[in-house]
Amino acid sequence: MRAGGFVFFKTNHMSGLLRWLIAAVVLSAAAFFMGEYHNDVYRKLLLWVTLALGYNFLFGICGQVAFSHFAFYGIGAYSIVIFLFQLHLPFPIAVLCGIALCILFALAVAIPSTRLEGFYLALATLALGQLFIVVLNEGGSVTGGTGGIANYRLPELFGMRVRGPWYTGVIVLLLVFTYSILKRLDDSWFGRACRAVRDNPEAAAAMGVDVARTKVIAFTLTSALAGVAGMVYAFVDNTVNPPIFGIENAFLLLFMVIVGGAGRHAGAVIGAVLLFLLPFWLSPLVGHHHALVFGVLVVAAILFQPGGLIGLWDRFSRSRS
Amino acid sequence: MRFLALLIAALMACAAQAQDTIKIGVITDRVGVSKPYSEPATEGMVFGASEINKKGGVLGRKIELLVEDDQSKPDVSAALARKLIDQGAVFILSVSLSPATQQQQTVTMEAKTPQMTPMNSADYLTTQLNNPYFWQTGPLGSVQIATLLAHAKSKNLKRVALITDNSDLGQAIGKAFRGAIERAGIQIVDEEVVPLGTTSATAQMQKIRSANPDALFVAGVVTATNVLIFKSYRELGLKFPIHASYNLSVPIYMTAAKGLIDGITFVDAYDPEKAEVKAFEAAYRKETGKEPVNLHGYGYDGIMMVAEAIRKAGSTDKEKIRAAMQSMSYEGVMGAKGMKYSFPEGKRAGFDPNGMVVRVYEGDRQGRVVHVGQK
Amino acid sequence: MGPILQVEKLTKRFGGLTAVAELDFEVREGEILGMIGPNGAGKTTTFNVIAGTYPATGGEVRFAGEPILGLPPHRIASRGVMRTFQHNRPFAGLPVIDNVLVGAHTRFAASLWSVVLGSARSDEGQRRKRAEELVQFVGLGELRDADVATLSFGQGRLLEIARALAGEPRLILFDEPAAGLTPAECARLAEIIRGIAARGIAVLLIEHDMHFLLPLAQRVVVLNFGAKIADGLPDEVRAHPAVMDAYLGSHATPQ
Repeated sequence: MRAGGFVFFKTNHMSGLLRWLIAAVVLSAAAFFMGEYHNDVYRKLLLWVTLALGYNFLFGICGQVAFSHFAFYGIGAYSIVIFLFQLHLPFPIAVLCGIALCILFALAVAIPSTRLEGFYLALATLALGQLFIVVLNEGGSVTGGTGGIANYRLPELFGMRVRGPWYTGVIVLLLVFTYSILKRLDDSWFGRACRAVRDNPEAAAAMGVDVARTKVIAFTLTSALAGVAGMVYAFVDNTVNPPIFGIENAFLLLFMVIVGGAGRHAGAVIGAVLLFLLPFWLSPLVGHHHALVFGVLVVAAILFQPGGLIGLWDRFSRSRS
Repeated sequence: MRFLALLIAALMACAAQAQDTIKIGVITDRVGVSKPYSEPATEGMVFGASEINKKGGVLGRKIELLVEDDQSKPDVSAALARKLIDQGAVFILSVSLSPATQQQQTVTMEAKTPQMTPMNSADYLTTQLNNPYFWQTGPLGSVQIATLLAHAKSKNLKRVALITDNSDLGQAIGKAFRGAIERAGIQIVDEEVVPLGTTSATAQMQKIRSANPDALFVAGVVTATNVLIFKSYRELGLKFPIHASYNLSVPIYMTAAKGLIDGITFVDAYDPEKAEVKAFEAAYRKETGKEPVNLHGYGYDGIMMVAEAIRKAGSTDKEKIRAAMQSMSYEGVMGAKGMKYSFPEGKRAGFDPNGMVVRVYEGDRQGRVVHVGQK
Repeated sequence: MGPILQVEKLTKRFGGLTAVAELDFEVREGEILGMIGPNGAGKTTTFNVIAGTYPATGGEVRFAGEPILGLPPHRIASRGVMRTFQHNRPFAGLPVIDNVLVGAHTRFAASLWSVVLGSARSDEGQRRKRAEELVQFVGLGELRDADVATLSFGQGRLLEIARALAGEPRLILFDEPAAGLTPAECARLAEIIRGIAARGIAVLLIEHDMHFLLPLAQRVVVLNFGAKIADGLPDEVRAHPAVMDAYLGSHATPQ
């Protein structure tokens, strides 16, 4: 065990932990001041932010173009429901099995495709995403077919059933948990290795970075995190169905990261908040033309602001200082 | 000062009127995959609501539609159901995608708010969740296929071919067709798939020609591929009859497949000869200056039934509306002549299994009814 | 001092073309070995085979007594062989200091788990301090947080060196490090390379430019058409008739 093993509990890092805690409390407390509708939108927004943070690590930081993020979100969501309510596994076992399933699928996709050029990962994950929807639609009574699965509720834990704004608190914990892992990885040798692989794989290899291994780990880890998020999603509306986990949402996630600013955590957050809420804001103002505004925004971001909105903010704050 | 008093009075009058309306929520899709179906149905509802309001509304109060666009995204759809309930909707009408309607149910069930889909056809909507606040009056997918096959059997078909596209829905309907055809004791002599994005279906149609079937069943749901099928059918000069899915009842074929569809039979829930339909079409034309199609009828029937339920309940109490809805028997625009929507014995899928019709294209128009029900 | 890198009968063929033929040489600990030859002599191929970028057709390469032929580049790097690129290859999305820290990749002791659990901070801190020293050493101290896109070509070359040093190599391979540099930058570069050797790190220097190489190298290997045509002290090589012929004949006079 290295001497650094205990630094978590030193005071200067306590303050770091405290910051996480305060953030979690504030984000959760907000839910108690909202109506049912805003709370629901807030919950779904927090899930999108969580997904965008994970996808940003994979796409923005590690440079892997993958379209399977929502498939893993779905594998997590469906597996927890199937394990709990069809196989009747105990809750912790069901969670672990769900994560194991995501890791298994992620490895099965990543190991063969990362050996090839990046293009093949995009193809393989696109295929996985499509295949997953076919499996859901054709899954008979196991997946509930096109209608998915409903008619279940979060089991009681320690005699309590978490619901309403308290469940929003669970999602906040998921978000903070996901972000703290990604942030720590990003600030470490691993995050730098990922960026190095993204920028110049040959030079990264010459620096001792195992390019294939780095890609596989980043893919598997972010896919597993998406799976955990899916498990949390399964109890937001107590129903899971195929359209949520389709390719359209995978593309939307990609757009969120690009518009916000790929490679930056803050960018992923901004992109997710903006693109998820945009239809809600615009729909009353411009009706169905919100889709057009959305498209123009995405194209403009890609063409004129490759650094995304966070890059725009950087320029703005630099010019002021 | 006088002006201020007037203004306050006017504002209060507005507020009183706003409070006086009965709010009905509508969840539709204006940009997503079910837009082509959802939009006309929503127009039908808006027309129905204006008709009701012209006649003095319900319980002396005007109906106010709160229309929300869910982009066919089930998670957004559920959030919008909460929004409508927060805004005081006493009933929600759902004309977006079936899974979206399903996800709204998790909300309406919890909030004990009546909800109905006048159009969705998925069989699972009333069976998967035991939600006493939900009804479905769109014809079920299984009823559509059974009706089409009942017509086919009356033609004494022995050997048929089946063609579909490779979309999710096209594959699902193809599968359902195959099962139903086999159960009916009819032999499938050839089965073809037209992939999305191809430019010709001639190869598939040639294979079908060489199998020499008594008839061809078209299960595809993608307009572009179906048009290709009909084009090859004409070019190859094929003569066997075509029986098509419910998809052919969508009016787009009258323009997209001009000159190709004469004689094709398809399953529908709309009989242009029915008195209610004629009255509806005339009124709709007069009010909007536009030509209604069958999809408008779904939305129109939906809002009319909701109004009827509230009238019968005698109040906007959701529990009373629920009870009134469950005991409803209503004859509307959709369905064969004399068909009534009803929910006997606690059933919540209200479209009569014998209420669908088979129609035939006459020229480029959706023409007469040639078969009714599953007999 | 013993040899740190031993190359024996190294052969590399591309199809019918023999780029390197039965090449023998060794680099001793702490020495600067120069390798020269005209364009197409097989220098860069030799370099890439040693670094693991190309597989060899035959022969043997031993580093610190262990065979390294056939290992992938990242494994060779983790053994202690670092390299620079002839055309600078920075990680464009990382600031200068983080580029150098990527060079230290194999020297991090903390596991991925300890990173996730947040207990790897001291490791990170130590490495960062060391990287800052290296940035100072090559003279980029002012630019430690700069965007690499803002660096001049010469500064980019210095970054390549700092990055390679961060891996705590026992051998550094320089691929034409003076290419594209101004005379002043070349002088500075020579000084840095001497400083590296003075730290006990062996240097294999592949260079086209005689004026740069000969004063710097302790020994020189001369290649032509993939084969060694001479080796020895710089002065001996300079006077070698085969070298005069093959390499210098037309365009330069050895001084």
